[in-house]
Amino acid sequence: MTSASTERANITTSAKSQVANTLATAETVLEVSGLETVFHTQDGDVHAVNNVSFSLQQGELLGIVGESGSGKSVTMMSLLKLLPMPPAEIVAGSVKFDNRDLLQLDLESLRDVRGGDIGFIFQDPMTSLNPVFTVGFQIMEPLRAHMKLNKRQARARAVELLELVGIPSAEERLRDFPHQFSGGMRQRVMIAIALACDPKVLIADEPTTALDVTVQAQIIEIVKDLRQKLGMAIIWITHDLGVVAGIADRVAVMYGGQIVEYADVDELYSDPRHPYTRALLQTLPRQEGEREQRLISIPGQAPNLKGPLTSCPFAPRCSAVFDKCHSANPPLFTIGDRQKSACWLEESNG
Amino acid sequence: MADQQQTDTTLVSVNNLKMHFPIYKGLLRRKVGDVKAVDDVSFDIRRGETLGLVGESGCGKSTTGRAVLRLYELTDGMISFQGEDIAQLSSSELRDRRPRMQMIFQDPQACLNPRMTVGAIIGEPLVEHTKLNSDERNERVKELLDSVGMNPDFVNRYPHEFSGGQRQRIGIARALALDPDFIVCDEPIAALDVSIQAQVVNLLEDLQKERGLTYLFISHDLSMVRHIANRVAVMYLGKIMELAPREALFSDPKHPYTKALLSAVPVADPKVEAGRERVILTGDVPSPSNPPAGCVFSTRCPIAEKKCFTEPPQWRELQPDQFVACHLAE
Repeated sequence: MTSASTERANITTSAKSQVANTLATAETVLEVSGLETVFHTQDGDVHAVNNVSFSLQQGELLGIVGESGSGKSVTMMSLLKLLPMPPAEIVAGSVKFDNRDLLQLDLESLRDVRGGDIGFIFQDPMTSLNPVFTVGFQIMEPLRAHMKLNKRQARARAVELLELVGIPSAEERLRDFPHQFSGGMRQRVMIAIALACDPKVLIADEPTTALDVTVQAQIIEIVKDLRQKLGMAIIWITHDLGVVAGIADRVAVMYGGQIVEYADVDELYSDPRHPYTRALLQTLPRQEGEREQRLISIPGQAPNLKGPLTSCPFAPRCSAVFDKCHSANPPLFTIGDRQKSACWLEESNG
Repeated sequence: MADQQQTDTTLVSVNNLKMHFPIYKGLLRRKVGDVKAVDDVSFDIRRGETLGLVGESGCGKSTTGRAVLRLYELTDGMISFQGEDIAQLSSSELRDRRPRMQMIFQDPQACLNPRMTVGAIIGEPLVEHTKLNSDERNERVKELLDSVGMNPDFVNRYPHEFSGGQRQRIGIARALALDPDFIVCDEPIAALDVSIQAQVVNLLEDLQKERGLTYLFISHDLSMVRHIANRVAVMYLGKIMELAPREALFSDPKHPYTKALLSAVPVADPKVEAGRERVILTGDVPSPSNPPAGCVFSTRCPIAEKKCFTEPPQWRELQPDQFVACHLAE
């Protein structure tokens, strides 16, 4: 058993480097630039997403890391205009996908993209499946709407999809309702629905947060496996730095509604440049070796985002803070080839 | 002599604790079975230590924590607290012992009454259990707020005015109000952000040092348990699978479930992650109303043998202080 799993580990490592090689030449499938989303509330405007730009290559897995309220989910919802508008408003930016700007599309054409070319997996598999329809119906729905399959074809494809995500006796389980599945199984169903129409991009919003670690490990294995088979690009939103370390090619760290660091996964963990990333990595208790006497904590709290940012949002909690941090919000400075950090300390490098 | 010392340092002793919840079904609500949330669990908690209790959701760790405080009527078993069996005490007798044992809850949003001020929340146990007048109470509340790192001037504010981490501090201050010996911390950091978790864990550790508290720390976050606990118990489907000192459990786990659980925890380092051997468990946790015969883990165990499916394993001491319930562990 041990030798088998070592072998598998080796396969995944080599597969990973293969992915890295193809990335260099791969084309960009999704390009987001200057995205800004504001919520108009009774207490004033909340600037949830501030000037967010990133791009996604074919076959790439981009991890988006941040704490609650950092704007990671709102960013992804904004891409497909899944936010309630009003109160939300996308005030600036563009989302290039398939030679089109998704933000300019009318609702009809946007519906074709949602669940078709771009699949979405939500955090909570209990609330995102409809309890009064069978699982089979919910998987077949996008197939019939987007791919215009007839009932029998859709059914066959649904069975195929459930087998793909590792649900045993798929044929019978199509008739079951969501409450007859366990949490991990429900999340597999969600993945099957998201994959139904062979999406080019899969957006997974905290897909394993509500699950236990052993089930999380199962789901991560499935996603790794599916990536090899299907080759789609994935955006994986999470607050767990451990999960990202295991699966991502590139990582964007978000804080205060903006990307504060953007780098390849190895660089991010071996040489984090933004003080927030550094602090975040330091707060995690070690899993091996000597136990630390005391955990390093980040003092203070996350910023509230009322009003536009006029200074670095991390400045009040930063250990390396200096005058300039309070007077202007730093842009993303480029360090080396592929690493970016929004910190005034990098100004001379950038 | 060794026995003498053992009883001196043991604060809480749990023996063969069973907590079954009846299932009623049909028109006549007949009892058709039991959910065996906790099934024959025994452990000791030593004075001044932190015992970590880990496991996946539904394994019975919270039920164990609540049962230890006698928040349920036990199905069976004995719980001795400071040498006294509290399993059979009446509610009024229990009430006299309540100040000595307290609880910190998971969801700081739900465990604070939104209509009460912070002062009233923290002061309530003082009203119930002490004879302090209102000035003395106010004084004490301010001291408590100060000791959990909050501004004493916040007494007249309401819970919604605070962030999650601050609310958890209020919950901790309330638990400390009567100067308890023993606190059950039921997933106290699960609802908090990573950067706030460390603040709360540090606070719990500081308070333990200052006041000599004993914790039962329930969590599903293994790396945090590794940090805070002296000894760790691993639960699965209502039973304890392994109980060992921290170093032994994390560096040399004996039970196959502990091994699988530890290998499933992601490490925040891409180089480690790339070369890791994972034990991926197949299937799901069986229903606690109908647990497998033999070892409860046998249905998912990668090394299960014939006798694992028929014969429940004995709880045995493999090495000094390291206990395991497995036929095959060595």
